[in-house]
Amino acid sequence: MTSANKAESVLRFDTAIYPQEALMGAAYKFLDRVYTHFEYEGESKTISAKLRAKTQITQAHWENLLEAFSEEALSQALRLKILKATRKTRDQIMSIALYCIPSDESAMEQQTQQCAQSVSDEKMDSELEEILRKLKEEPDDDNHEEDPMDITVPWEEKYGGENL
Amino acid sequence: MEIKFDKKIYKKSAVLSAARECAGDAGFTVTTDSRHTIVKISGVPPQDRDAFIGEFGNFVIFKTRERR
Repeated sequence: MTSANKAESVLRFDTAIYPQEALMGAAYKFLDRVYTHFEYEGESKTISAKLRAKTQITQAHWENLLEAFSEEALSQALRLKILKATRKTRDQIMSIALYCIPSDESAMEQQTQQCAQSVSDEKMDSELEEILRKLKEEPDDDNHEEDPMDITVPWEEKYGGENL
Repeated sequence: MEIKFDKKIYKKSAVLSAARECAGDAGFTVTTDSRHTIVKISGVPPQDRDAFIGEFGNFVIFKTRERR
């Protein structure tokens, strides 16, 4: 990251960490505050972002703005990563939802039942069994049966019915 | 004045669309080389050039995002 005077700076981003789309998203969020121009540095995977303040601002404010821009880029990158990771699940939910849309009101009840069956039948059961099996296999780190501080012991038993 | 938009980052259709929409404010000529979409802008008063270039660049970012 390098900087220059008069509220104009160049930030450099590695696209392996900050995808191009994430940088565009960050720039989009800052459209009202800075002028942004992106350029790949030669044949490298680094994008340089030239940022220029729209109005005159103090150096401290400018530095805060640059920091906020970088944070937003990171946030957008994370958002993209989550979107990609959950795409399959979202598609499945959508396809189930669309498959379940009844053609008319009279068919609604029948179709809803069919959908419920198709979703909850064997596949769902086997998935649930698999989850339960994994849960059982996992070591139980949170043993709530232990009570070293006698929290579960009633007040009367602990203090012999004394009132404070 | 001239602005070069990296083809790997900015969509050409976004640059063209932005130029078309701003055509009432200035003159635009769009060309390309192997790496850039190049926009030549004319008819902007010297005192407004920096702001115009900045705003146009931002408008292309907006148009690029809009197309995703």
